[in-house]
Amino acid sequence: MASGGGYGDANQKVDYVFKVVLIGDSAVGKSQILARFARNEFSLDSKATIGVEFQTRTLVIQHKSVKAQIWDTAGQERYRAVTSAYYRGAVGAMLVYDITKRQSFDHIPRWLEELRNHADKNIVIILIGNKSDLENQRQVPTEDAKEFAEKEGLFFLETSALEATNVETAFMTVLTEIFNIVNKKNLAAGDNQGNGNAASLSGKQIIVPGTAQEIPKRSMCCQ
Amino acid sequence: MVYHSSFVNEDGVSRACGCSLLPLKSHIKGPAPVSDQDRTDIVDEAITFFRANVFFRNFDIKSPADKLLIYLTFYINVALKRLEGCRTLAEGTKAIINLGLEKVPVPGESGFPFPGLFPLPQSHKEAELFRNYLKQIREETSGRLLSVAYRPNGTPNKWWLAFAKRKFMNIIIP
Repeated sequence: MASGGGYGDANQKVDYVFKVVLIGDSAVGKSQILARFARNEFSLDSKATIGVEFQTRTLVIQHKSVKAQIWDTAGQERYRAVTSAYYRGAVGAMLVYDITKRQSFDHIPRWLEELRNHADKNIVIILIGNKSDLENQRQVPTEDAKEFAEKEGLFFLETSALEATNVETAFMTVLTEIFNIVNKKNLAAGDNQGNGNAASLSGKQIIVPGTAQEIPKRSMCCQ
Repeated sequence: MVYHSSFVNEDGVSRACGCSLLPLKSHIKGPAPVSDQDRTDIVDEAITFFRANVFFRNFDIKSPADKLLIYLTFYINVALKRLEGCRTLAEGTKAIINLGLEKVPVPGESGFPFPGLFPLPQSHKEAELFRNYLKQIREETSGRLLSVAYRPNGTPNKWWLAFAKRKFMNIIIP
C-alpha cells in the first residue's frame, strides 16, 4: 500500500512524478489543503493566493517512489485567464468547495467543465468538501455532493485542513488511482473509495510527466 | 538579414490596431481564427526565427504580419528572461503562468513596448479585441516556448535559455 513520504524532498530516485491541480472558488481552502499535505501546516491568517504556486511531496506507493507535484492557483475570476499551462501534464485534479458556502458548490460544474476542456480526458478527479469542522455552519449536505460525484464519476471526500481530517486520504486516493492506471492494474470494484466509476479508468494510458531532475551544478558539454 | 513573416497576403483576415488577427493552431479561447494543425502559423514563425531575429536592432517591416512577429519576438525575449533561474519545467511553467496573469497593454497604454508601431485603437471595442488577441497569442506562444526551452526530462535547454541575455531591438526588459 501507500506510505507517506517526508515533508520536503530528499534527493532520492523518483520513479514517477504526478502533477495534481487544485481548483475551486476563492477562499474554499485550496492553499490550506496543500499546506496540510505538503508541510503538515495550517495558517490561521491565510491570504489570497496570487498567481500560481506548486509544492511537492515524495511518497512511496506500492514500493515505488512517487513525487506528487501539487499545483495551487487563485480561485478569483480574474485569475482564470491562464489555463492551458496550468492544466498541461496534470494527471489528477482536486475540485474543492466549502461546505459552509453553497455558492462554492454550485460553481463546481463550471470548474469541472473547465477541467474537461483543458486537461487530459483520463485525468483522475476527486471532489472535496472542505471545512468539515464547521458542521454547525453547513450549507451543503453530504448527500448532495455524493450524488453529484457519483453522477459525474468523481471520487468524493469531505476534509478539514484545520483538523487535518481526510486530507492525507484525499491525496492518497488520487495518487494511488493514478498509480494504478499508470501500471494498468485492474482495480476490484471494492477498492474504489467512494467512486463507482473508477474501475472504468483502469488500463487506460495516462501520460506521466518525466522526473524533473535539476541540472547538475557542474558545467555540461555541448549536447 | 532579418527573417520576415510569410503571412504577406492574408485575405479575409480581420484587423485591430492595424494588425492582422492571424489564425492560430490554438485551442485557447480567444478571437483568433483556428488554423489547420499541419500549417505553420505566426507563433511557429516567431519561435523558429527568434534566435536569429533577436540579434537585430532594426527591423524593416514588409507586411502587417511583421508587426506581430516583432511583438512576439519581444514577448519571447521577456518570457525567456522570466525563465532564467528556473531549473525545472515545473518552475518554468509557474513563471510563465504568472507572466500570463500580468496586464496586457495595448497601443496607447503605458507599458506597451512599441509606441508608434501600431495605430491607436479607434474605440474601446477595438482595444479589447486587440487585447484579447494578444492574450491568446501570448498564451499560445508560452506553451510552445516551454516545449522547446525545456527537454522532455524537464531540464532546461541551454541553447534556448542562453538567449534570455539578448535585448531585442535594444529594448530594456522590465
